[in-house]
Amino acid sequence: MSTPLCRERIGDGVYFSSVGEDKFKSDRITVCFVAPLKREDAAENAIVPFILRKGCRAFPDFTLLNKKLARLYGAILDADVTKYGDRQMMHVSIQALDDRYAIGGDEMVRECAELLASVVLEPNFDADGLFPEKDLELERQYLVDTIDSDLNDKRIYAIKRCTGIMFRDEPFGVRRYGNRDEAGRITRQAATRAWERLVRTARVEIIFTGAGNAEAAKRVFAEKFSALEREPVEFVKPAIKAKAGAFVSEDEKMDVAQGKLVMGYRCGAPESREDINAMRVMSAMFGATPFSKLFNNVREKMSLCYYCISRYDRPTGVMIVDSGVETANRQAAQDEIQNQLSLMAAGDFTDEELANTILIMKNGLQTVGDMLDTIEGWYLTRILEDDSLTPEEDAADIEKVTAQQVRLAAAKAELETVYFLHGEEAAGDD
Amino acid sequence: MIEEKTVRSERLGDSYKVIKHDSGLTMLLAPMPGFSSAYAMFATAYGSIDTRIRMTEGGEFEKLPEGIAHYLEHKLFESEDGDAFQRYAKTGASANAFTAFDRTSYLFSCTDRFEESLEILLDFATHPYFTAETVAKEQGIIGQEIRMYDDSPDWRVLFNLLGAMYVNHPVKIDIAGTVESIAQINAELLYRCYGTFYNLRNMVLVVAGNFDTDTVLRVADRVLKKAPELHLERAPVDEPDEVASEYTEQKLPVSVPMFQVGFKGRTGTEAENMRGSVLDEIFLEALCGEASELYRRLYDDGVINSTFGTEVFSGRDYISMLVSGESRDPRAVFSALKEGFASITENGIAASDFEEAQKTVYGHYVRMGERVEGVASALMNCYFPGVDPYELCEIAAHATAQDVVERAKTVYSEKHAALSVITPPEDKQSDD
Repeated sequence: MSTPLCRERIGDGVYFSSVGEDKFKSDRITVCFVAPLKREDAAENAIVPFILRKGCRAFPDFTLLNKKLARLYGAILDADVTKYGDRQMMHVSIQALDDRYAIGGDEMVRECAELLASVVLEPNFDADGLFPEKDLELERQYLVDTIDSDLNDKRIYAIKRCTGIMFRDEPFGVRRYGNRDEAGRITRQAATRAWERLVRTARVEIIFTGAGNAEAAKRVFAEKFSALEREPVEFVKPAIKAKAGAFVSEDEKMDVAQGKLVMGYRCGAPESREDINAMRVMSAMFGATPFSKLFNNVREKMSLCYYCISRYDRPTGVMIVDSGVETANRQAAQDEIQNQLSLMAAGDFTDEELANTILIMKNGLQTVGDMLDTIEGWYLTRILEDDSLTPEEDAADIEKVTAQQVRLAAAKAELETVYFLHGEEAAGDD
Repeated sequence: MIEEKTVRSERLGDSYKVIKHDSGLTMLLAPMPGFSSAYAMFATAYGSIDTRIRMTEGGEFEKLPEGIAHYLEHKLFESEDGDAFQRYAKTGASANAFTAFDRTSYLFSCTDRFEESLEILLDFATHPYFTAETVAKEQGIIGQEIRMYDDSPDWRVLFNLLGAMYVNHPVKIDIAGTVESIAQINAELLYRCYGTFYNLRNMVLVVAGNFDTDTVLRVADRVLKKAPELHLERAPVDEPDEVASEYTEQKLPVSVPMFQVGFKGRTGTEAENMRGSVLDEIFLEALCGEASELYRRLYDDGVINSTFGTEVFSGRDYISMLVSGESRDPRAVFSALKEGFASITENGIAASDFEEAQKTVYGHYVRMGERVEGVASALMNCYFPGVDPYELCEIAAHATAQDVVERAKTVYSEKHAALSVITPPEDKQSDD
């Protein structure tokens, strides 16, 4: 059973939330800058957490900072960027052993909170008041490489190509790390401005999870953030496209052994949490369980693919089906995936399949409270969705979804985009 | 139940039970108060490296097709009336299995209906069902899996490195085998391998998290039958200290070249490898961890980025230290690592550098105990070598710089190292 979130405003647009759980041996604190996902800002914002990770006034040198972390029993200081719908989130987090396990009786929570606050709010600027040139150059190259590295995992690459086509005119289409060319052009002036903009205008969510004393961490952040002049941005929920646009199909050739077929569906604009929950259950029954319609039919019965998975993305209202298929099986796989969805819309599933799908979803939700990062991820999403559901409450709601709601949800999903990445063989061979 | 004992760690405040069941199976049970999920693993000491085996007393060593352990894992999920996933569907458990170099594990995680899920796990893994048709059908599915891995630069960079480091050791062969090797697999051979390796005396059941010990015993009593004597002998592998080749390269579409460097170690017993790997982790932190001089130099030179990482790759009769990442100049990284290795083994580790490396590794071992899956995996990984997982934490806490350096000198050498690189094709694909 997970403990509910305790959330408090500690500055203008700055919130400190904590979930205390005795069972853990470490504590995790994350500072998350939430900003609107905009084409013009995305890359500049994205570089900020990575440069911050390089040092701060108290530890102006990367190696000194890392030595400090090592002395905190290998505390992990991580920077990353994620997106949720039309929000871009720059995270810097620290995870370290709780005070109880420190051999030398160190005050781990306070030390980690001070270090993290210093890293995000007191950057190591040079004499010009800017991020150091060397840090900027290295992190800019790394950002460009990270954007390019989508290519390394063909499955992720293919999914991003499909969503790139679908969202070309929507705010969701901006990549979390921004665009490659813009990333390559970032100057240290621009990166410094982006940091200033985030500190002044982003919504700041600080989340503490773990066994330790959250109050000790809150005091540190409250003191640092309350001193800041802020003009926090107001967020408005973006409109979700209710109907599919014109059908688009795109093929791409690359040196790959196995083809990747990705199909993007528009699932309508949900009017209530019930609608969303029906869509989640439908998508899970369709292709997200080991006994799903897609797994049992497209993979097991017909051997048309190695994997075939569907995922519903709540903030964009889109369902993505992705599969690994031989080029020769491409059309057959695509037709069968469509056929399975039509069968679901016609109600061709048993009460047992529905009950089993709900059971596995509940299982997943009830596991959220067993790991620090999943607890943090859960509550960050809750905050962005403006509700305060616990995983158990969500599980109870999922349990209420009926067969009729699932059938209607399946009927709402409309295929809009098909993207196929394939090897040397000619596409469309049967 | 024949025997039961409780193992405790004062330092961590944790404990687990070791139970020898009448059937011959050993069970390691770690209830974790406050957690919602339970994680169970049923594993056999059988993996991709088990390719030359004597399965009967006085019989010949038999050569098995590459990839057969993995093939067997796939097929074991099936029974006469459907597959295990369909049965798990009724309990809500999330189930999986994986074949590694020296073991195969079947697992599930659940928050409700633990007893039913455990019964499914123990039942399907002790009731093989293979026919000519079902075995033939799997050829296509595994063939697809092999092709998928052929496209994975992360996978290829590792197996190319193992191929470069090892001359004879079967650790260099792909876990799934090849399309040709798996074509030699049939139902009869699967049954024979099953009969040998899935003897309960060659297996372990590990459970961690939210469950009750009595439930496990009840299910075991209900499902497990007494195992026959174990006849299993693995052909020894004669592996030289030297690497097969120092460099290997493959072209695949990647954005930045990927590399993996391996320092090939001289293997000890399975337990020596496991205990030694803690010291080797400290060595790697001191050599090129984020707080090290070397990391800083390579980072400032722009030849590594934050994908850089290290691991000790150890198992039943192999051990090596691996360093991996992305680099536009992998040869420069390789040279620097070899020089760094030589310098540490000659001059030792400075006291403050050692303390940082040691604390980092210690913290890593303590944190393992706060995840249900981490506890189950640690118990399973330590069982086959016969090591107590809490001992690893103590090794980290009590290690000295001298122990770490002495071990590196005895087990490794900068002369026995190899570099594997994945580079993009010349006509690099453009990204939009």
